[in-house]
Parts: sequence; C-alpha cells; structure tokens
Amino acid sequence: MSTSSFDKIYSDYSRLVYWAAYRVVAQNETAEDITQQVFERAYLNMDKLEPLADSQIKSWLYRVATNLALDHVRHAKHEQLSDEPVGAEIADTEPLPEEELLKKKRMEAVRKAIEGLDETNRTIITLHYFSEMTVNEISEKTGISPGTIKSRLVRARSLLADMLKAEAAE
Amino acid sequence: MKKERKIELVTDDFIEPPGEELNGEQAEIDALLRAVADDCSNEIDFEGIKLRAVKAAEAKKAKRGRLRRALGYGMAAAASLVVGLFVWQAVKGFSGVPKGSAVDAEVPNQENSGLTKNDPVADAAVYVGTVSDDNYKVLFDSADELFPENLPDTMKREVDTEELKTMATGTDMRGSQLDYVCSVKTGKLDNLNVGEARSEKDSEGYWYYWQINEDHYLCAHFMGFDRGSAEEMFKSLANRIAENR
Repeated sequence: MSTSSFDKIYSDYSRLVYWAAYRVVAQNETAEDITQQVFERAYLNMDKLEPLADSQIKSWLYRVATNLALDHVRHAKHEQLSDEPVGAEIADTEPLPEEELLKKKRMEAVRKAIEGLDETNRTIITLHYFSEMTVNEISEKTGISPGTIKSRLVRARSLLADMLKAEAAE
Repeated sequence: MKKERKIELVTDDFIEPPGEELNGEQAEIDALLRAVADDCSNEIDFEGIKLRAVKAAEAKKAKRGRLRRALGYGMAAAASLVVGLFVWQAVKGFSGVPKGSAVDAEVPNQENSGLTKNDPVADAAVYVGTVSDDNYKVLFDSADELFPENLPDTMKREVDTEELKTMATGTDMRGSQLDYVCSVKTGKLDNLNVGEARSEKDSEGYWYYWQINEDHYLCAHFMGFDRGSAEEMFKSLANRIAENR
C-alpha cells in the first residue's frame, strides 16, 4: 500500500466524509468518530481502493460514511441523546477579536438557518456546499433529477436569504 | 476542440462559480454558504482524525497478524497430529480414522448436504474458543453479532432474531455476487469438540463450523469469497464473539 495514495484520498475526501456523516448524526464529535472509522477501513482496504477510479472511491467513501452514520443512529435510538444546539461546538469562552466574533456569528446564523430548512433542501445544501458534491453526484445519491436539484438549490438559497434577513431584523 | 468545450460548458458536473450563473441575492447567498462551509470545515481537526484512523488501522492490522499466526500454528499443530495419527494407525495396521474425531473429513451433519461429495475439502479442526450456555442467549440476543466486522459494506444485511440467523447479499467492487449466511443451531457435531472449528469447501464457497458449547454450534457459509477473505472474516467473527464472552 502506498502511503501517498492514502494521503491523497484523505486530503481529497475527508471533508466529504465528515459532512456526509454530520448530515445524518448532527453531532460534531460523532461525525469525527465516523470519519475516523471510514478512513480506518479505507487504510485497511487500500489495495482494493487503489485500482479504482476517483468517482468509485468517492462513492465508496460516501456510502460507508452514510451507512456507519445510519448504524450509529439506529443503535443510539434508545439512548438519551443530548440535543446539541446548532453551532454549540463552535462556541468559545475566550474573548475573540471583532473579526473572529463576526465570523462565528455568521457561521452560527447560517447553520441555524440551514437547520430550519426542510430535510430535502437541507440535504441538498449540505451535500453541495459542505461535502462539495456536484449536482450530478447529489442526483445519484438522492435519486432526484439534476434539474430538480438545481431548482431546489435556487429555492433553498432564497429561503435562507429570507431567514437570514428576518434574523438580522430581530 | 470546439465540440469538447461545448460539452464541458453544458455538463452538470461542476459547482457553479459564484457570479457566472447566479446573480443578485442568489450569488450573495451562494458566496456566503461557500465561506461558511469553509469556515466550519476549518474548525474540524482533520489532521487529528487522520492520525487516529491510521493508528487504529495499524493496531488492527497487527492484531490480525497475531491472530493469523496463532491460527496458523494451530493448523500446523493439527496437521502434525493428523500425520502422527495416520502413521501410528498405519503401524498398528489400522487403515481408517475413527468416526467423530476432529480429523474426520466426512461431512459432519445435514448442513453439508450441498458439499461436493466426490471431492470434500475439509480442514483439520482448530480450537477457537467457547461461549457459555448462560451467555450465549444474551450474546446473540440481537443476532447482529453474527456479522463479521469486515463483511463488505456493499452487502445488504438481514437479521432473523428468532432463528438466530443473519444473511447478507451483494456484490464486490468488481460486481461479482457475494452471499453470506450465518446461524446458530442446537446440537453437537460429531466431529468437533467443544470450542473447535473447521472449514469445508463446496462448489459455492466455504463453510465454517464452530461448536461454541456443548449444545450449540455456529455455521457460517461464505459464497463468492476467496478462501483468504472467508477465513479472515470467520476469524474476525470468532475472535469478537469469543472476546465478548
């Protein structure tokens, strides 16, 4: 196995895997654990992954991440899960410079607005912007046509703009 | 050249750069979402996750290597025993192997009706471990435990809790059919002592039998897998179940 191959796969797809897991579990720490497990499997299966095309590797990683995240949700359904507020993991007790503070506030506001979208729109926005998936890739994963994905993206962006305006006006 | 450029421009397979297709409010939100997605991603310790993943994978590889070596030694010892018994019996003028012993290469029970009878390939039994009567019900309560940890993720899984049976079906990365069936049955196999396991090959794949205690045995059938993969998965399964006692 080539370490540089693993490094490249990790560098190219760790963000995709993390946000694919986060979309299902909605918890920072759990999404990190799942990302670790996915790449642990990738490392152990590098001899099988190396001959594959990039799109196949990407698809495999996404599928494993989603399956592990769904497994986690299934196994945790009887447990009392903490209802982690959106953006809680980025809260900081240290005083921040004004620029950083604005950035944090912007992140929290946008993430809160995304959480306010319905599930389909939230999924499309998360996969497109956070997991950096193309319209065609989202279509493949969700079974929704590329044209519908595009129109939903437009609609979701409009909804987010309205939510953020309303938030700013408060 | 022109044709290629045209195809590239009409394809959906790209992320629209801000300002080219979008304008006004749409472009602003698009840029904001990209910036926030980058900021949020930058907050994640990806380097730490990578180090932990590699460390865990290396530990798992080392553990598998130790288990493989241990089982290899066990197989070698069992093979020596077979040879020793054969020589001893030959010297004594006895040509057969006592039925029901760990070296019996005949099919052990009705589970083997599908085996290629003219060419049975059976390994010598090796000690794997036991599961106590008291704990076995608890251990297999969900039957989820009957899936090897390293079963390919591409396989669709089904669990039959009442029958203590799990099934998985799917294809490998090259599209070849893979099937896996594992169950726990009541009974004592003739040719296995408690804690021992053996494998057999048939036309579809590999069978693994494991007498987990006096009254129950585990049967796993790997179809479409090569011998190495089947063995690794059975070892993983047995190792986890034995560890969980």
